[in-house]
Amino acid sequence: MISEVPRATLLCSNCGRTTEHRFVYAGRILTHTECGNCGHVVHAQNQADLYHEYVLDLKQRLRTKPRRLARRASKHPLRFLVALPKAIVRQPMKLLGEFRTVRREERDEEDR
Amino acid sequence: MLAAGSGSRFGAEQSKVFLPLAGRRVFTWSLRSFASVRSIQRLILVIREIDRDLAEESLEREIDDDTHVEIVIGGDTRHDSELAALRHLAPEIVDGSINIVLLHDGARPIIAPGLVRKLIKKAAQTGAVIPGMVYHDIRPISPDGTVRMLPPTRYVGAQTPQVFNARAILSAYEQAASDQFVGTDTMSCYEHYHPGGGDWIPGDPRNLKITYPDDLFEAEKILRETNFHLE
Repeated sequence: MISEVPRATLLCSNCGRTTEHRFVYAGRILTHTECGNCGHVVHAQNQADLYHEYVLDLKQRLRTKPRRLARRASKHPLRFLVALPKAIVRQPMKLLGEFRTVRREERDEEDR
Repeated sequence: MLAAGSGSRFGAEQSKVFLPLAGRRVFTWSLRSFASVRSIQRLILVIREIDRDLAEESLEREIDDDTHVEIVIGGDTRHDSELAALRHLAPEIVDGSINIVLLHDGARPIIAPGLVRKLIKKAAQTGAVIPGMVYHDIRPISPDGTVRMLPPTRYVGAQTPQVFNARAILSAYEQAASDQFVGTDTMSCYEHYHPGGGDWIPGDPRNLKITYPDDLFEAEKILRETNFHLE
């Protein structure tokens, strides 16, 4: 499962140091990154369209979900069945978290 | 594909090649491109042992079922990882069933299959080729720190995949291992043992290396513009 806030080391264009960065996503869309050293935040350039983009992407995810689930079920039926209840319970919270991220990014965009 | 860099001097956190990019991991985008080139028969992913579970899970989710990717554990440096991959293929290289090897940086997700095909064709003719971007505005700096404005030489920014005659690159790396020579990239090691050097063809400006956070946004934008299908 792709974690919502992964961290990895990249070169910061602000402080010039190679440091750990946080990567914040709304679903599959990268919304911003934050340098762990100087706190420099880089936002997506199309931040104003984020909600629209997110909804389009969500529709695409929902469309392809049955195929992805079927693929996983056929490859590892037992593992799929064991993981399914947890995944079903987790899904609404995950979507809510994504919506919150989109709203927060929009508010930040208005403030800038 | 080289994906064994820790991306960290501490080595603890996630490597950048495993970052999500438009719904897949950075490294699986280019693996999918290579898998679509029919003349490529084997795909080797070089990783750190610590990343094995994540790599296997990503391959299972993001790579088509009919594509087999072999995992090789790399070394502490890029050079060691390249050597590990070449040694993994050594029996087939020696018996002639593999004649061309491509070495690609896993942090370069946008690789067009068309460029890969051109590189393979060129390497079959010349023995070694890299994709390069010409930068007319690069100037060398002298030892005293001043900029020299008389550059008689053209420079190219080296991209990957760097593509070689398999026997030649294997022998160069084995020789480098015994000489303890470490090059700056694959071509530099090849060139050290094959003084004739290699060739280059124009690369692709989209073939960016994820170095700065902005690169990740740019890669996402490029993928979206191509409707997630590079050619």
